This record gives sequence, C-alpha cells and structure tokens, in this order.
Amino acid sequence: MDVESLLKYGLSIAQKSGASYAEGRYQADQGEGLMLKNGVPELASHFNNAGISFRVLVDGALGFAATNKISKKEVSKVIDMAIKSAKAASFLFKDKVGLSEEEPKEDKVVIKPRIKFENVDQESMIELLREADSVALESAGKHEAKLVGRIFFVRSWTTEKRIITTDGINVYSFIPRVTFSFYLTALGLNKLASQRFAEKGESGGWEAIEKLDVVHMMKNEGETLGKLVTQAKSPPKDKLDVVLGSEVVGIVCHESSGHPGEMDRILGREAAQAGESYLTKDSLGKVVGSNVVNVVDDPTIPHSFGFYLYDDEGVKARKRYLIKEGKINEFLQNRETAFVTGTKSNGAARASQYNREPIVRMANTYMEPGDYKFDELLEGIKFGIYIKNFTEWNIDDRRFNQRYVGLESYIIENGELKDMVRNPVIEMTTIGLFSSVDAVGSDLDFWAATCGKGDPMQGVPVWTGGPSIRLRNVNLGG
Amino acid sequence: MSTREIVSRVIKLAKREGATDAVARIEELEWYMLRFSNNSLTVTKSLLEKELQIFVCINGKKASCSIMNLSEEAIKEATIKTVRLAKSSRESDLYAPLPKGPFKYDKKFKKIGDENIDVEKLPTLVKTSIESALSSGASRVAGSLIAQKVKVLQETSGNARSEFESTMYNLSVRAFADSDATGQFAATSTFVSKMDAEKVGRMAGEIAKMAKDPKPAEAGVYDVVFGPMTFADLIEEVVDASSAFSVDSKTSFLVDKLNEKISSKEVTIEDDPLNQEAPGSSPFDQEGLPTFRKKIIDSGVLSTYLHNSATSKKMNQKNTANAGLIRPFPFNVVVSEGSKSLDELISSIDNGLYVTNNWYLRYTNSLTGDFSTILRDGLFRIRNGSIEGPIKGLRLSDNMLNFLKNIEELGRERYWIKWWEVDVPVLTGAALVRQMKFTKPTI
Repeated sequence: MDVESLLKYGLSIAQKSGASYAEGRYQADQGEGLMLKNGVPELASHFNNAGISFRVLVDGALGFAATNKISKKEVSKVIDMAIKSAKAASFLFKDKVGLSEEEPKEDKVVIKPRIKFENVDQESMIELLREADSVALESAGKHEAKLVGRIFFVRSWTTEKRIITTDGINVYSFIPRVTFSFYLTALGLNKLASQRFAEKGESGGWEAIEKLDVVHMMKNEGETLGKLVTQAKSPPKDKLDVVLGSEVVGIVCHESSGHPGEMDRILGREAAQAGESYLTKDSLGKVVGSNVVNVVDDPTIPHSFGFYLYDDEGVKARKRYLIKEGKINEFLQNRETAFVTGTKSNGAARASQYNREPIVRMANTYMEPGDYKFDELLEGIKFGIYIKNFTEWNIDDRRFNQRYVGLESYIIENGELKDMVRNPVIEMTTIGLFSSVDAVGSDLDFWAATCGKGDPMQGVPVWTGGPSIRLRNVNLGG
Repeated sequence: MSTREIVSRVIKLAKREGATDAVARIEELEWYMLRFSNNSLTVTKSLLEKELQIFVCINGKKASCSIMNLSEEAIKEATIKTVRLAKSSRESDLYAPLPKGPFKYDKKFKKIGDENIDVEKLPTLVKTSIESALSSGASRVAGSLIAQKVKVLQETSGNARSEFESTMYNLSVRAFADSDATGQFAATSTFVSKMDAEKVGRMAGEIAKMAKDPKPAEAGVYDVVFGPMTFADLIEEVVDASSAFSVDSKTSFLVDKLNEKISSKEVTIEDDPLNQEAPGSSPFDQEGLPTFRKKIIDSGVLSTYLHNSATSKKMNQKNTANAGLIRPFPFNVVVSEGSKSLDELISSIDNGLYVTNNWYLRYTNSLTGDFSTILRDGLFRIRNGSIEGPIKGLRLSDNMLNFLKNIEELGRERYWIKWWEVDVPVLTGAALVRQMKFTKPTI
C-alpha cells in the first residue's frame, strides 16, 4: 500500500473509532553532512528519518501518535493509541480543543535543487572546507591571533511531506535545504579570546553553498576575529546612538516580534516550557515601536531556509505583517489557536519531524528595509557604536527583556567608523528597543537558524534577517 | 530479521566492505506524553519508534548514519553508503580502535525501572500535580508528563555485544499565581512509584504564591542561593564542558584546568551511569565498554574529562567509558550532598538573592566561560538571612569559572532534576554561591 493510501486508511479507521477530525502526515527527512574540525574531517554522516503520524479529535480531546514502521498494521496500532489516550484522559480536557474551518485543498509543491548534494563528490567538499579553514587561520594569524578552535559543517537534506485531513486537505511537498555553518574560537598572544558562530542556508541544492563563497567569507571572519582579540577596546559607558547590522536585526525580529506574536504562547499553550508572551490576544493595534518599524514573517520567499507553500495542517502559506508602522498587526496562528480566537489560520503550523505535532512557528522573519543607505545611517551620529553581528543572546520567556552581545563592533565618531570595540551589550526591553529605532537601512540580508520550541523540542529551519537600523539614545548594558 | 540479527549483519557487512571498526545500535522506543496548560490537557502524544545507528571507521576515517527504515534492503544500502563515505573522507586526529571485548556487564542493569509503562496511571499523575499546585496558591497550571520505555541493543566489531531496557518518567509543572508570579519544579525517575506528583505541584505552587506582586530588581553583584532547578542547569553546563571533545575543540572553559582546583572543597560532582533510579543509566557506553561511576570534580579539583577511546588516546588520559562515538557525554550527574537545609543556606546571606529557576543560557565565549542566563519564576530578595520579598527582571551575567570558584555551601535535600532546560538528569540540592553579577535592561 502506498503512503497516500495508508494515510487515507488511517483516517477512515479514526473516523470509525469516533474521531470528529483526523489528520495524517507522512514525513521523510533524509540527508547528509560533513564536519571539519581543526583542519581535519571529523565525520561524514547521513540519515533517513521517515514515518507517519496522526492527530485525532475525539469529543474535544486531541490525540497525537506516530510511528516509523510504515505498514497497515502499525497504522491501526497508532490510530488506536491516539484515540485511546485521548479518550482515557478526556476528563482532563477542561477546555475542549477545536480546529478552525479552512478551505479544502489538493496541491503538490516540488522544489528541485539545481545541483544535488549527492552529486558533489565528498573530496571536493573536504577541499572547500579545508581551504576555508586555512584561509581563516592565515587571516587571523596576520593579526598575531590564533584560531585555536575551528569547526565547519556543511549539510543538506530533503523534506518530503504528504498531509491528508478528513476535511478535504491533501497536500504533497518536497523541499531540499542546504546549510554552511562555522564555529571559530580565536586567542590572542594577550590571552584574550573571541568566538563566532553563524549559519547560512537556503532551500535548494549545492548551488547555494557555491554562491556563498565560503572561502572569502572565512577570510573576512578570520581577520575580524584576529583584530578583535588584538585591537578591540572596551566599549564606552555613555548614552549613545547605535547602528545594528542586519544579523542583529534578524535575531531581534525573530526573538522580540516573531515569538511574542505566536498565538499558542499568547494563549498559554507553551507556558511550562518556552513560555508565554508580553502580548495578549487583544494587543492588535498596540504600539510597540516607532512608526518606521515593519516586521514581516513570510514562508513563501523563494530559496529561503524557512520556505513552504502549505503548512503542516495543509493551510496555504502567506506573508504576514507582524508589526506595521510600529503597531502589532497580526499574530501567527494555526488551526488550533484560530479556533480559540474565532479567526482563520494564517498557515503557521509546522512540525519538525514526522514524530512531532504541528505547532505555531515562524518561517522567515525580518524587518522590511527602509530608504537609508548605510552611510546615511552613520551620518547623523556624533558619537555612537555600530554592532555588525553578535555572539551571546537571550530573552525572557515573555519575550520582553532581551540581551544581545555584539561581536564585530566599532565606535562611530562624526558619522565615521573608528576603533573596534569588544562585546558591547544591548540589554533592553522589546518596546524600548523597537521604539528607539529612528531610521531603517535599504540593505537586506538573511541568516539561517534552527528555531527551538515545543515539548518535546522541535527545531525548525528559519531565516532571520533585515536591514541595518539606527537606534537613538541607548545606554549600553552588561 | 530479529534486532540481534540486524546489528550482527551490519557489523559483518561493514567489515566486508572495508571498515576497520564498526558499531551498530538499535533503540526501540515506546513513548507517551500528556501536555497541559491553563489547568487543562492540551494534547496526548504517543510514539512507537525503532532506529538503527551505524558508525564505521577505516582507521581514522569516520562516518555514521541513522535510519528508521529497517527493511533488509535499506539496512544493506545504509551500511554500504556509510563505509563509502568513510572511504572518501580523510584521517581524523581523533581515532583509536574500538575496545576489544567481550565485556561483562552488570546484570542488575539489564532491566532498569518498571517492567512496563502503565499508561492508565498517567492521567492521574497529571491530575494530582494540577490539583496540588492549585491548592498551594496557583490560579493556573501548565506542564508535561513523559513516560517512556526504551530497549537498546548494540554490537561492535570489537566483539562487544550488549543490551538493556529502561523506563523513564519526567514531570514538569509550572504554576501561575499571576502573569508575573510563577513557580516551576520537576521530577524524574525510572520508577513510576517514585514520581511524587503532589510534591512537584506543591513546590511549583508554593513558589508561585510567594512570588506574587514582585518589585523591580536592582542590578548588581549579590550573594545568591540557587534552588535545585537553577543549580542543576549550571552544573549540567560544567559537566558538558568536561567532555573531552569540547576540550579538544577549544570550546570549553575547562581547557587546561585538569587537576586544578576550580571549586570549593565542598563540591564533588560525579557521573553515575549505574543508578537504578536515574533515567540516564546505561550499563555500557556507545563503544560497548562497561560504564562506571567517576568523579569529574573531586573536592573542588577537576579530576577527569569525560572520554571515549579516541579522546583518551589523543590526550593520553584514562578512558572514562563515556562514548559518544564522536562526543563523550555524561549519563547521570550527581552533586555531593551538603549539610545545610534551604533555610540555613538563605540564613547565611545578609544581602542577596534566592533564584528558583532560569532558562536560555548562552555564552559570549565558551572558552572563557562568559555567559548569561535569564532568571524566570520565583526570584526573591534576601536581607539579613531571610526572604524579604519577590523581585523580577534580572539576568545572571557572569562567568562559569567564577561561578565554580564562588560556590560556598551545598544543600542537604537533593532532587533528581530533568526538564526542558536540563537534559541530563542531575541529582542536586540548592547551593550558596557568593558574589555573582546580575544585570537588567537599561530601557
């Protein structure tokens, strides 16, 4: 029996067993990766993670069950588990679970990589990473710094999904993804150390790695780390203006706009783990930033790392304005939260693997670019600081109190970049940060990340991004 | 094909294809979760899963794979592909031949925990924890209960054949007395009979009640009592940094600290893979070596890194049987028992804080140990040896070596902690730590 027939078979059993709604998903993630550690390949790996899951609604109780044994017998078994466990615990479902009504849909989305990862021979990948490694080492060495720890990782995987529901959704998708990540630790003769981790990734094939020019990227990263441990000064203490680079803006938008705008957090469903939100379901229209702040989450951007056209409840994906002109404009919703708020899903349900339930997630979250060229952002600053990228960060579980520790950072004097500074700290509230923005750059870049949420943990691929932005009158923290 | 036949075939095939070393491991999982929020269940989850992991070396050339399709054809294909990947790789400087067996494993650990998961008991545990938190002062309660049974079967080309099965329960409860007055507690065991849902709910509820009407906190350097949840998280970070892989990668703040005094003499931290009640227990590591209890920090001195064969050979240190084929890891972490109760620890502080929980720990630099983590749930001001009242909005922004150095006293009453933020089970009490730095937002 093929996968589609098996899923349909599962739905029919579920309905016969009393489920008012059932949803079946087949998901196969398979791929490979290569790690280079301090110049030598540490490990080549591959994986194939495939299985099926079902969600059932029985008298307002939601049951989820999954298996990697793909057979008729196992389907019957997991449907039975989902229904029995939901029924057995139904007395604890005080708030009955429901799902919003959505348009029935049948569709197929297939993204083809231009260069398949498996068609690139491993020797060439190793050579590329070794070249990146030696260039990084050499460029840091020019500044009398040593890159004592160097880990590079390339990986590629495909995600194939088939989602079928009892209310008329049947969607198939196939999406390939690739990433390149690096983790560098620099040590100067003065014993000062700096560390950098970052990841670039797209939906696509090896062509995305080629486009990155990782050798050139590592030359710059090595040089920056070298300078950081030998030349950087302590950051100033005064109140000043701050320019944040695209990479910092990306994480800010993800942590401080995307996460608090997830309706399952707002409703308390994540309360015990990832937490809740400083927003409430009545916060639409609330002013949280200056009127130049526009934050978007859009799963439909071609080649993006967080790309999808149908979410994992089979709802069509679309662009969502989370913050428009400084005001909360829209929340991220799946069918479960939309039922509670009496709205429609906006296609934000994602499950990281076959054995995880679909929950509200971001995809590609970024601040929309404005009109300012980078030089123009600096022009208006007498004394300030430019934080191009970051190292440590964290935020409280209501997404209000956050901290970003700058890595590559410079003093700005009379509109010009001057000395490098070590680890300036931005420690601000969400509204404090977004309200301090007075100018938004015209540049736009994206970084890949794996966003963690859910219980058990689900890591999903996302892009975080944005332009450079300017903040006025900020006290550095730390 | 039986599970034993599968792993034997993988080893034979890998060797025939040219592997000098091979490990095949199958984990069979039966897993349940009840997840709740706002005093109501939100979902029940069940999972049946069987996964094959293969690791091969051709001398120092390494490759691994994990697959979930266990058909004969898929297993053969995966094994051949894994050896092929190793062939086209290059020699790693982290390599040692797998240990040669056969080995004797402690028979008491062939079965750990309950015979089976009694699924029908699970809703009652959740109900008890919710009611307990509510009756202790919470107005709403969230959390999750996990129950699992795992069967592990492993074989290596070093003639190490091993298997065991275990059960695990993990309950985490977060109580809300108000939107900014919360308390959290957790428990874990291999036996359902040891899961005290009433106590977990009560402790979360009592912290939440105490945390009502918090005042804004002042940033500064404080003496602090870390409750078991936070201390478990910080100690897990220390033990994680003791993995020889991190040390070799120069990403650990414990680089060059072996045999140095890094903490006070009160602090002894052990890795204990052989504990009937601890869910991380395993009679063998991923290279098939019999596991054993070892001190990582012995009366304040860093006494070993955690090793597998490859890291122990490269560093010329004793193998601790903590493979992780690439990265050695701990099984269960045990912090030594102190002499003081929580109240006595608090009474040792004139001007400080009592921190009950934290999350989101990130490093500015893991080599130096500079980090910060957000405090969450009940946070209290201590003055003149007693709790003055709840406060809010602080972040612990300090350094791991500084944290270790400043530990002064350990608590007497210990708990097995494991939850969303603490992955490896940690047995610990509260702890008194002097002079830690706390920051807060500037705007």
